[in-house]
Amino acid sequence: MKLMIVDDSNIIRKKIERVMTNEGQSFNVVGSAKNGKEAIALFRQTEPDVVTMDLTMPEMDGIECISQLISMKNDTLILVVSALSDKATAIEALKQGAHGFLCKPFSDGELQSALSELIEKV
Amino acid sequence: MKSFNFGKYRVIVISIALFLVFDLGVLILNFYISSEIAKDATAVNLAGRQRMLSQKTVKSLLDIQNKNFLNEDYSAPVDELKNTYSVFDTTINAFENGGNTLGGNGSQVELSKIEQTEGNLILDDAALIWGPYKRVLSPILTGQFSDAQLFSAVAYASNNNIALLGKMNDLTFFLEKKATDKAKFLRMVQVIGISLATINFIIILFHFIKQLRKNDELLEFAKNETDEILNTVNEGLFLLNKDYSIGSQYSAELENIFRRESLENVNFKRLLSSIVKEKTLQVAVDYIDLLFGDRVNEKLVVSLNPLDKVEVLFVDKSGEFSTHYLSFTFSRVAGETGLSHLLVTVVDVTEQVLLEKELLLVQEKSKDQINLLTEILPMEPDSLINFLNASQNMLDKVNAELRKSTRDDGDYTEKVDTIFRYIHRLKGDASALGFKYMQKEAHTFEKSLVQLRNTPNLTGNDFLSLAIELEDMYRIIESVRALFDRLGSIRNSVSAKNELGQSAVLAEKNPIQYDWTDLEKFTVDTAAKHGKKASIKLKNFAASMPAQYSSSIRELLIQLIRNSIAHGIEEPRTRKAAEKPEEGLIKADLQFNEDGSYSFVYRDDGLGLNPVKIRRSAVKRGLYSEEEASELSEQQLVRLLFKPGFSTNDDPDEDSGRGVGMDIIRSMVNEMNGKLRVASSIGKYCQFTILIPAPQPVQEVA
Repeated sequence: MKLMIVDDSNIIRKKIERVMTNEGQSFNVVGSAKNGKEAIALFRQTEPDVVTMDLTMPEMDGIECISQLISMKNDTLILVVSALSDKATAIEALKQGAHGFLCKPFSDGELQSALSELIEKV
Repeated sequence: MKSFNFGKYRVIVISIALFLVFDLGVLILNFYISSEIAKDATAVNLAGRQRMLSQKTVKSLLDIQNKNFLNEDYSAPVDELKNTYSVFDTTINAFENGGNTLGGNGSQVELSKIEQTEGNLILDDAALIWGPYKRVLSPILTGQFSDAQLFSAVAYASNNNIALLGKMNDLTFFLEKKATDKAKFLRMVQVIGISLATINFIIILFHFIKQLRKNDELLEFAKNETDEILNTVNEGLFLLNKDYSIGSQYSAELENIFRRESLENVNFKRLLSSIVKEKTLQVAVDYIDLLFGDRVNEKLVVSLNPLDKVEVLFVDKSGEFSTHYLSFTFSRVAGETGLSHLLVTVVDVTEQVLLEKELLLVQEKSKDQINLLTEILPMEPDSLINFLNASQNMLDKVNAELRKSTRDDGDYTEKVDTIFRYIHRLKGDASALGFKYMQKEAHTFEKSLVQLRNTPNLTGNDFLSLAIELEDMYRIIESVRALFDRLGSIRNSVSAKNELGQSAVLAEKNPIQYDWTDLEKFTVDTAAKHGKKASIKLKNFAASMPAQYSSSIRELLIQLIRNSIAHGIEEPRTRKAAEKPEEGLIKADLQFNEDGSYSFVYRDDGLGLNPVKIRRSAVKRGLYSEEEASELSEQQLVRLLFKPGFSTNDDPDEDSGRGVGMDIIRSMVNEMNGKLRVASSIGKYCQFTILIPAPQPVQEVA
């Protein structure tokens, strides 16, 4: 499965990339973007199956980005990865087409099980 | 599609199959026998007709004889005889050998050969009569006959007609009996068939009733069990339909939780809207809609449940409001045709939430205590004790000031100013000691005082809130003392155990002894806090200064340092541009004179007093018009600086801007019956010279 990472924090991007490129993973990280605009461009280029999506980002935020990604390819699996401070925004992101939510901060195990849960139940 | 479970329905299927077999068997037999009976009926009919035909033959013969005797034309009776003869002969042949004959309606009818012995015997007898009959009739049928031939035919007919008639009668009876037998058989078959079907039906019925009763019992049992669970479970439990209506089966507790009866079919959205905030409701509905949809992964959105711990407001019958906390959980329930309901559980977690809050408060308090402890630990014990004593003293004075009866507005304003001076001094001391906790508390107190200062027409009631804040400060001092004592006793016991023979450090020293070097650190720190650099040089500040003065001079020094750094010393960049060293320098020199008096000279190398700035502040604060201000002498301007509430800083912080620093300096000098002089040069320095007379050995501070 091709995985794309969208997050404005370099640390988070690196972390997801490190955890998901470990051996024994069914994921192949095809790219990471630091805002919605970059994500759209990268999406066209790499056509990922699964996307991890931050919500608050400069240029274009997660909600706008999700609705654009879904309109481009509506079977894209999207996992919102964000802090739990604003539930309403996260729920809005799910309404726009995301499939699940992972709360920041997260452990390696939490990330892995969330992503495998996401692809298992399609 | 589920695979069909045959076992459960085996009895029914076998019963129905048996029923069909019985019915079909009876039907086929019925059809067969009925057609046989129909044939027999035709045969009975034709046998009956033979009787009539034999009579008709005799009649035709007599007719021919009569017409022949009268010499009339007998062709018509001959033709009739021909017909009668032909039909009779064909029919009797058909009975004997099987075959077609003319039916009653003129069409051809098939007769089957009579097989039974009894029937054959009758037919044989009839043949014995009919054989010769045919022979005597044959010349007549041609129409060319002699009288003798006619006579012999008539004679034979007269002699044998009765016998032939009897045989045909016998045949009729025989055939009738045969048909009746078949009909009887048919009836028997029908009775047996219907009986079997009825028995089968009764078995099915019995089986069904038994099964139904068993199912009813199971259902009843299950329902009782469900009811029992729903009545005893401590949680609110219900099924939420897609149209947001509450299902009919819900736990008894649900009504208690929502404080209303009969929740069946009640719209959950409406129910929520009456107890939660509108925004919460909107988010909750969005969340529930997501769960009713099939896109999101249930497990991966649990943490987003907005009703996880939600504050709700109930209004009871008497119109009283009460706040509660409810915790909802939602799980998808899959029916055979996909998601049909959400199973919702509700628990009133008010107690838990309140406990958590209380716990948090306790934690906060203990954190405060720990903060307090960590703050006082590095402090010099003597300085701390001095601070505590001085603070206690000042708080007592504030308390006395608060209790003092006051008559008019002017007195109230003065009261605020007096209290302000004490608190500000206390804050300065705390700051110098590095006692941030107390500093913050004093700052809060000051804020309240500023508010009072800005309140027109003060009354005694306005001061009530201060009493509470004062109480808080007393409490801090108390708890610090308690902590300090405990620490002391720990230290003592440790020392005792170690048998070092050293008594506690505290006990030995003179309690009124200052470590002046801490003010050097205070200067550096305070400057850093303002983004500035400064250091202080202390001259002649001996540890053995007379007790009466040391605490006052220390306080004076603290206020002066704060004032210098806030207003005098410039920022490093500004200083560099003015060709001054980046670090500001403060000098404080204490001189002991022979007559027992002291002179205290304090000087910083900052901006000096700026008459323009002071004038502007005076105008801004409405003390003078611009014109009046411009006419003020330098001496008048300096005096202005020492007025309570006057400050050239518009943005108050912990060190300046409340317009109290200079006022304190003045009042402290007054307390010591001292004199104060100010000298300054713009951009170069500002110097305070304080003259303190010889101490009078009467009172002691603290």
